[in-house]
Amino acid sequence: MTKAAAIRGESIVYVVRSDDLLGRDKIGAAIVATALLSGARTASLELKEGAANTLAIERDSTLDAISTWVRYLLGGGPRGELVRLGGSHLGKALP
Amino acid sequence: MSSAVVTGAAGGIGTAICRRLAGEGWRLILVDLATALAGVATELETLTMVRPVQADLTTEEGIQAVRSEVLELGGSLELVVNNAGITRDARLANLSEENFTLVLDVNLGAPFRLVETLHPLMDAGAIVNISSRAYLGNFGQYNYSMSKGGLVGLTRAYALQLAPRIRVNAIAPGLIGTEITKAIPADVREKMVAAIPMQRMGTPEEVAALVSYLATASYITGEVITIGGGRSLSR
Repeated sequence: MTKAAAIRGESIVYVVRSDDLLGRDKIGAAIVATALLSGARTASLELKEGAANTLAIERDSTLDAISTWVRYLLGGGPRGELVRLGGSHLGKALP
Repeated sequence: MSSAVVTGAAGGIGTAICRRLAGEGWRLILVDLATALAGVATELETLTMVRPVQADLTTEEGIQAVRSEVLELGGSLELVVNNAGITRDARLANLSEENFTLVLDVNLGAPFRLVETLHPLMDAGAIVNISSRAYLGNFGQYNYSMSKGGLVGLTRAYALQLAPRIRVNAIAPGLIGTEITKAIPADVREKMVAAIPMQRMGTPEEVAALVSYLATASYITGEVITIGGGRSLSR
């Protein structure tokens, strides 16, 4: 899907869990979350049109908040960026 | 005497890691798919007890071959260095599914399988995963960047799950002078070096020294340490 979007020049948003970026849950989930974050950074270097970004959500993130931020990130501006909803990452490792 | 498993032992960084650990008295299980492994083993036999395992770590047979060697060597396994990795570079728009899957399987799937298999054999010690500065993003390396980013997640998750018994850390090297980087056209390499604040490539020995440090750094776990001469800051 990412490749197809890149070919079409469309923007990409990966939605992951904040806990997984810090490896707080299952190994596989952590691997996927951090791999996608790296993928977004590299894709943004390559995309001439559009951008790839990552949105990290928490258990209590609302669908409204998630969809709002996905729309923002699809709208242009940030490239290869990580936006984290909530504050469970504060005081913890940078991704 | 403690033993260590090092994957990718026949490559530039891997061989440097093995030489460093051998000099420090570690017993080594050297793992690589390449036949050049035999030469590395012969060299290091003068320094320490060495067991070469020519194996494909993307297969269950390969993983079990390493496990068998660990058990046969005896003593306590206290260090696993996941260093093996490959590249199959292409822009995302041209990246084949085959090369996407292959790079993720070798660079990420194999370390996962190896750690799952070997950590039950460890009473204590450390796991060091060789990631890459490319996990921060690198043009033409979507597959490689994802694999090395995934290693960061693997590192963090295992660090939490295996503490306090085993420490798990990652190293993210930048441009390191190996046979692979020597193959880069000179003009391209010069431009790459010019973008490094330290104005040179790193050496495999510098990466090996960091592995050695993390092997015994008793209060560091879950960290990613970049060794890139400042390249992760410069334009």
